[in-house]
Amino acid sequence: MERVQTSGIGRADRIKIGIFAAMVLAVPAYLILPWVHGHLEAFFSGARAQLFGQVLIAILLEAFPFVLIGATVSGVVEVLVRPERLARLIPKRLWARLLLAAGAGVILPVCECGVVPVVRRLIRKGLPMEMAVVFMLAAPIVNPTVIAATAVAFVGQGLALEMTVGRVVCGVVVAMAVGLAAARWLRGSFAAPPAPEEDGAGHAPGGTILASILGHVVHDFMLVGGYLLLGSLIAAGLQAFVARNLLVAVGQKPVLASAGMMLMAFLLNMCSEADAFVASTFTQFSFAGRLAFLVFGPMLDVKLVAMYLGAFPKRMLLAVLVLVPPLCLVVCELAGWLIDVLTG
Amino acid sequence: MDSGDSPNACHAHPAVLSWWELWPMLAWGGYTVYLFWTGRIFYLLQTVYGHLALAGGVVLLAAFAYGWGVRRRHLRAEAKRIAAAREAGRLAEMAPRPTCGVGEGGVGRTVRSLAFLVPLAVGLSLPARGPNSLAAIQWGAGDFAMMAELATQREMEQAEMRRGYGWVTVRGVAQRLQAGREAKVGTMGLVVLKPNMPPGRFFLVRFVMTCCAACATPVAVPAEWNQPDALADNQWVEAYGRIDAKRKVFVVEDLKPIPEPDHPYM
Repeated sequence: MERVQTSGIGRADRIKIGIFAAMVLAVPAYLILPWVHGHLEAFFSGARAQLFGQVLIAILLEAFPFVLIGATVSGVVEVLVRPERLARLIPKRLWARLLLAAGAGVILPVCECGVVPVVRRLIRKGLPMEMAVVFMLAAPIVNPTVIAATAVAFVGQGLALEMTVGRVVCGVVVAMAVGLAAARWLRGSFAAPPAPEEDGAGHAPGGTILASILGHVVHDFMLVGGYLLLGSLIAAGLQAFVARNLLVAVGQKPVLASAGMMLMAFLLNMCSEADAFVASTFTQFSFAGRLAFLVFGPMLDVKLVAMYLGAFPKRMLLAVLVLVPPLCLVVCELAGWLIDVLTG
Repeated sequence: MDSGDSPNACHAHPAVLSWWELWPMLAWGGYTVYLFWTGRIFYLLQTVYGHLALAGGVVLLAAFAYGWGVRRRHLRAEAKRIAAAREAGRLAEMAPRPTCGVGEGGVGRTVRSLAFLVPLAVGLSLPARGPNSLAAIQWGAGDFAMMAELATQREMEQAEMRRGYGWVTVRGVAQRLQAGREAKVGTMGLVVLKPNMPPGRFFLVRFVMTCCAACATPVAVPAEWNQPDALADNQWVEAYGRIDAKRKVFVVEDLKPIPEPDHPYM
């Protein structure tokens, strides 16, 4: 086969240049990198820096497989789902739309980190904003794995049924209320049309479907991962510098219990699939307080706010930030009161 | 909202990933596999999550290999096309065609790609160990009634006899302390000296991890030893003693410093 000369420099010359450049760079790298590494190691041997670093890496390592899953679902949606097909699935009635979005998490189970790229992509495909908000807030709670984990965590205290049903119902109610508000007050204010697609679906005609999906997966992973990194840095700083017992002191006052637990959930940045096991240990808190921890955590925490910031319109984020905390507080307190009445 | 950032902004060409997109996948995938290989990942993540992270890391490496292959084939095809255009004298076709990728998208995305260096540098500089005594203090060791409640939720551990003491975990000591059971026990934990504690008083702590180190919860047993000068904060120890049910304290009779165990969590 005839070799094709691609530029003025031949292949052999390019290899020689590459080897020379690597040798030139290797010397300063050999001197500088151990020096930098030594100083960083000395810095992170300090107790607070170590704690900060451990929390940062732990949050990132824990979250990135889920972001990857979400990015993969998002890539598949982008490439294989045509906007007109999605449009046909959307009911006309508002209540049906909200219910469908709230229940979609059961069949498309993603946790709170994975849901961000999926919702972002669905919005670009033309999903109405109220459905996007409801799906984003409810999916990490109605996820079957999360339901099972909640039941298992509370079975030892005889609260499995109450806590699991309470979590799902309160989560869906809060999500639908925020979705309703988005439909009423924010409709049309961020109607971003989906990106034009040449062949209806998102894959480029020049490439394979797999390469197109990979392009979207990596793009979403980098985008959401960047904001996850920002959120994790803030969360690690808070964990290293703000003592948890301050929150507990606040949360032990009856009126403030739910608020304190919500603040705790906001700072802890826990995965919704594992948070029930931690909540089950907060036995000194009321049922409503623990319920608020379980409902609020998957909807809002430090890293999620950063991820939402990078993925959604500012007004949608503002609506979520303003509406979710009070709604969550009221709904969970009401649920707690109802459980108290029913169980005597 | 980050608008206009879809790789589909250039629909006419296949999505070819740039090095700005490829290297974070290689670096993070490689780092995760390294953490798993050396066992360090389990200082940071619970077992199930550790394996999930490994799976994620392997997927990232696979995605890197595939993306790199696509990029290589694309660059070769481009080189051939340009060479053929040069030979034929078609100057208009000699410019490289745009490719779709984050790296080609501007400075902001390059910065985002480079930002992945920060956690890598931090991660590679961290010592291989679980949370320290500061974490125990920050996260409420000895302050939460939760710890005692946590202890009473579980069944009593069966003690295995060592040196005439029943060997249990810190949680087992907390359970007995909470239940008011006088017993001679031995256990292993981290010494935590809180500010303003009387000399000789300390907390013996181990962490419970449900998902990752960020949500680890300290289980702390109040303890006392009559040799305060020999107590060092943040030191792992084997402690043998008796539970004083009336004073709700673990009275240590013998204490031996040990290296941090491979599995510091309960």
